[in-house]
Amino acid sequence: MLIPPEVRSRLRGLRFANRLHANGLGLGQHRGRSRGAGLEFEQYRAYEMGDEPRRIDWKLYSRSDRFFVREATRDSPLNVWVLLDATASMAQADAARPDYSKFTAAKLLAACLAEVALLQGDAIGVIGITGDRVQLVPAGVGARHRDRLLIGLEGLVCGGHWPGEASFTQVQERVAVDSLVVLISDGFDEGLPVLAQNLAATRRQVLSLGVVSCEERDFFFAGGFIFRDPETGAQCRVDGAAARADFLIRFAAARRELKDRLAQSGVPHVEYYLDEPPDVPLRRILAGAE
Amino acid sequence: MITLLAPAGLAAAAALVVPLLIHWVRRSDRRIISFAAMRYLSEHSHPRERLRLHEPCLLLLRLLMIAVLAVLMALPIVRGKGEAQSPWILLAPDVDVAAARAAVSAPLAEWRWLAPGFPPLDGPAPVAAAPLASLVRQADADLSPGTALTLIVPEELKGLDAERLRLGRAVTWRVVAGTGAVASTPASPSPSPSPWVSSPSAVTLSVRFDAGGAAELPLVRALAAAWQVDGTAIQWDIAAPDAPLPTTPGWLIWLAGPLPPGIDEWVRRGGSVLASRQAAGGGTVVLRDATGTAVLRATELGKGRLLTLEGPLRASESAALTAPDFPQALRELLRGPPTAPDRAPAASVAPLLSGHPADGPAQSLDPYLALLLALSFLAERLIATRSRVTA
Repeated sequence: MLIPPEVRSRLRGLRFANRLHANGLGLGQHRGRSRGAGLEFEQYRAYEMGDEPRRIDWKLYSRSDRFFVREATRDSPLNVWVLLDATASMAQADAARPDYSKFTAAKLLAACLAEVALLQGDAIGVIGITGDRVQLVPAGVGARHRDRLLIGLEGLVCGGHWPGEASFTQVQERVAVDSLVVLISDGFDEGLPVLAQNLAATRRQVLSLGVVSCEERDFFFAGGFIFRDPETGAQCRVDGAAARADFLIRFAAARRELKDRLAQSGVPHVEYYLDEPPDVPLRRILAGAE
Repeated sequence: MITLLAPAGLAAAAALVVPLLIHWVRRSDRRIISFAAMRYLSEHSHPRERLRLHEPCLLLLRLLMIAVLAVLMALPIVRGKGEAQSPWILLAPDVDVAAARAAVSAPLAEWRWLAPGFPPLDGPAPVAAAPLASLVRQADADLSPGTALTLIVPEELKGLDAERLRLGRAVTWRVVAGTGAVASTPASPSPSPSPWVSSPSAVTLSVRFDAGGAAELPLVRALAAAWQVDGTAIQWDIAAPDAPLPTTPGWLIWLAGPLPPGIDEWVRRGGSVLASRQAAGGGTVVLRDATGTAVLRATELGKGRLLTLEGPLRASESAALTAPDFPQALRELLRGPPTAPDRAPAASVAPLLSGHPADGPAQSLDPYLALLLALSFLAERLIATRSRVTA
C-alpha cells in the first residue's frame, strides 16, 4: 500500500481536528479532557480534600480567604479509528482501471489518514467490517505503528454482506469515547447510517467518506449489459443508453439522501470518486470537521 | 415493364434473414458487469424487446446485396414498347430473291434473311439449317409491336415443328417459288399419296464376316428376307472384313470379331452397326431373352447407333434371336428413332393470330444488376474493414 509521492507531499498540510476533547494518553496536539498542572489556564475550582497543597493559588487565597485550585488543560493526542466497509460490493472497479477497486481506494485512503495521524502523533487503528468477522489493526502511535498498519491493511480482504447490528458492539468496545471515527464505504449498505448514528450518539466524532466509481457517477454504458449485484447475486439486463438518464437521477437522489441522513446525526459526508487523487476528499472532510 | 423469367429465384430472398441474424446475434453477447448500484436502476431501464441492430449501414448494404442476387436469380428482363420501325421483310433461305422482289414492292422496307441473326439480304444466302418456325417466332418477339412484318416463304416449308405458328401481330404471308428442287415438286403432283411423310426407302446392308462369321450368315439372310417382305428394299454389300465401308453410312452387320478402329466415325455420321461376338461393354440393354439375360445392347453415337451381341448371331444361340418379332425389333433399332414431320405446303401453315399482342424486344437487366452488386460489395468491404476509432 504505497501512497504516491505527490499525494504524500500534499498530505503534510492536513491535520485532524476534534470537536470533542481528545482522549489520548500523554501529550498531543489536541485540546484534551485531562486537566491539572499546565500552561493553558482552564479554570479555578474549590479545593477538595486530596488536592495537592501546592496547586492552591495562594494569591487568590490572600484576596478571597478561600482555597482555590488553579487548573490548566493539557493537549492530548487523538485516537483515530478508520472503519472500512469490506463487503463484497467494495470489490467493484471501473472497467477503465480494473486494478483500482473501491476497496483498494479505501485502503489507500486509510493509509493516507494514518500518514496524517502519525505525523501529528495521534494514534490510529483500522477496522474492516465484513459479514463474518471484524478485521482489526489495533490503534497505535509512532513510526513503527505505520509499518504495522500498512501490513495490516495489506491483509484486509473484502467479501460478504454488511453484518447485523449485533456485531456493532464489538466496534463500540474497541472505539473509545471521544475518538475520531472515519467511515470509508460505498454507502450502499443500509447498516452504514445506523452505525454512524450509533457512534455519533455515543460521543464519538464520525466522518464519512463515500467511495463512488466513475461508472456510477457517469454511467457511460452503451448497448446491452447484464448487471450483477456482487452481494445478492441478482442479475438484471440493462440497456445502457436507455437507463442512463433515469439512473443518474436516482443515484444522485440516493446519495443526497444518504448525506442528509448522516448530516442529521452530525456526520459530514464527502464523496470520493475513483478518478480523483485520494487527498482531495481528505482535504474536504478534514476542513469540514474543523 | 419488368418481367421475371424465373420468379422462383426470388425465393433466394429468404437469405435476407442471414445478415439480420448476424447483426442481431452480435448484439446479444452481453458482458456481465458487477455493479453494486444496480438497485438504483429503474424498472423501465430493461432493454426493450425491440429489434436493435448493429451497424445499420453495413446491414443495409448486405441486405441490398442479397436482394440484388435474388433478383438476378429471378432473371429479370425489361420489355420496352419500342417505336415502330420500318417494316421488315424476311425471306426464307430457299426463296428465290428475284422472285421475291418481284412479288413484293416495298421500297422502304428492310429486307433480311430468315436465318439466325436476321442478316441483311445483301449478304450470301444462308444455309437453311435453322428451324424456320422458331426463327419466325423470334422475329415476332424481337420486333417492336408496331412494326409490320412480311414473310416470304417457298411453297414447301421445312423446319416446322408440332406447334402451329401463332404470332402476336398480323403478318403478311407471301408464298413464292423456291430455288430448290423440292419447291418444284408441287407443280407436278407426285404419284405418292403423301409426299410429306418419309417412306422407308432402300437401305444398303453391308455385311463383313471372317471365317468364324460365315456360320452366322444364314440368320443374316433370314433377317434380310423378313425385312424385304415388310417392304424394305435391301442392297447387299457382303465382303471380307478389310473391304472398305460404303461412304454413305448405312446398315452394317459385323461378323468379324472386334470392331475396326475407324468404325466410330462411320457410326457418328449416321451408320447403324450390329456386331456379334463383342466383349460385354456399356450401352443400354434393348433385348433380353426369356430368362432375363441381356442379349442385345445399344449405344448411341452421334447420329448413328451401335448394337452389340455378346455371343454369335446364330439361331441356336438364344431363343430371343428366333422370336417372330425379332426382325421387326432389330429393324427399328437399326433405323433409329423416327423423325417428326417438319414439312408442309406454305399456304396451309400461314401464321395465326395468338391473341396476345407482341411484347416487344426484351432486354436483360443482368449487367446493371451485376454492376450494382459489385458496387455494393465494394462499399460493404470498405465499411466492414475500415479502421474503427474505438478498437
